[in-house]
Amino acid sequence: MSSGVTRLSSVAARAGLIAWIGVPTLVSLIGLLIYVAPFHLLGILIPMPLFPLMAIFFWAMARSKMMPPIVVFAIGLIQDLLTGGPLGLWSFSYLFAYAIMTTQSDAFSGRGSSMLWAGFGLMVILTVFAAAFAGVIAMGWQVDSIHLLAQGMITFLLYPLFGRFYRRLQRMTQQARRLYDFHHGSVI
Amino acid sequence: MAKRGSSGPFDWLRGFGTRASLLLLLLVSLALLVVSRTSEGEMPFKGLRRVVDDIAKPPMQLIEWPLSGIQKLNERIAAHWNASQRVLELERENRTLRQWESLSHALHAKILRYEKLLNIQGEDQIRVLSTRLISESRGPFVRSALLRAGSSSGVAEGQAVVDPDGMVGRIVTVGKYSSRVLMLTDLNSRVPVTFEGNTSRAILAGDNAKHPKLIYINNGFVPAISTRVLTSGDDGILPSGLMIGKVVEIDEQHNVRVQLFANLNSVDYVQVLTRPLVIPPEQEPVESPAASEVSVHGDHLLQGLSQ
Repeated sequence: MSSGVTRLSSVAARAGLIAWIGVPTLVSLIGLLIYVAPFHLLGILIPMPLFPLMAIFFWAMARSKMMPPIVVFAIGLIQDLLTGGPLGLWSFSYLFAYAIMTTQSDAFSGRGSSMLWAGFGLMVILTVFAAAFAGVIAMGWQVDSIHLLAQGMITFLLYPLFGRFYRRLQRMTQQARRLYDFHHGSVI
Repeated sequence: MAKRGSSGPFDWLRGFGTRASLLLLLLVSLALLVVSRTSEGEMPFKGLRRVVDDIAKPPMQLIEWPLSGIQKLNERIAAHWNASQRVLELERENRTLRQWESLSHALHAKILRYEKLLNIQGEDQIRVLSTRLISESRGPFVRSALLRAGSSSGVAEGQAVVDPDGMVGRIVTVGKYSSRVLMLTDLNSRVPVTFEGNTSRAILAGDNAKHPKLIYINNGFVPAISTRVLTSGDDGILPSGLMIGKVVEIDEQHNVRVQLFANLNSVDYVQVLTRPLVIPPEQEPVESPAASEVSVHGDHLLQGLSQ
């Protein structure tokens, strides 16, 4: 009977590991689906926040191993495909901002939520700049820069709300990870 | 505080690997951008887009369901807010529409009579397919939307997409169960148009602005403000006479901008106008029975001559 319990806890531990690895990607993809969902308020065009960027920033700062470059690239590429835009546009923008921010992660992580928000502000500026640059490469000088800036602004303003939600998720996945480590006696 | 697991002898190599992959992926993204630029007018990676659109359809429907609920609630509240004023407006509109309805019946009967008299051939039978938007891109770069119907429902590339107010866009990629419509305001949108009361032709070109512009207006025609713009059907795919919008802006260089009748910010249900494609005679397949018939006739002719 004890072997059955051990097997069950081993399965639970493995599920915990998969959750630890998969949650950031899954959250980014759900954010992406919300980003492209048709949503109108009183017939007014409201720029949709860049939900995937929030998830990328949070996990790049919290634990960059959970958000490797290939995942950032894939999220950007899927965003390009789902929006019907030029391929490489958002993957380049996210990777560019990610590359700079991960080198500065020590300056922002573990320094309180307001410092982290400021860091996200920098990430938004880098992403908007890279997206405008990529847009010029792909489409010439016909980028709706006002819309892009408004999108960046709304993303920045909404981050504290989503950051709190991601922190809760992060705690849950850490517990799942600890269960796996305890079961296998390993530390990553 | 030292990070866990950051003291291994090959850590510099792992860091190098991450940096190298980052650089490689950035270069791949740039290369994809350049490919997008060079294939202007033609949407690259269409096959991949079709597959992703079809895969994204079920989760998109799941996400769209609660959002559309919120939207309906929001619309209901807004409608309730100015209900009395709206009723008066609708009553006035209804009176005007009744007059137009009786006039259109009379005109329709007259047109049918004339068509019969003139024996007009080649009028298209347009089939209407109603469907719903399941995702939308109205970002700074693209104006497109994903529809719930694909090739299995008869949707094909180039077909017109309309809402009750006017034309919205045209189909650019078609998956089996989904299709993508490129809005008239998108940078890559080009639609051949004509004007109400004038046979001049032009191209309606999107540039990601709210009001698309008219380019290549022939006969030196400069439309007046409020002139209605319709599809000309010159491309052989779009039906002619679809309402698009009206001229709202003409600057000193005669650059003309058109306000669309359809409000692209609140499109949810649309109709795809499916129409049989007109094949040029030189591209029509040669039917073998006709050829054998000719040879039979030829044999008879030869026999007749020999006798």
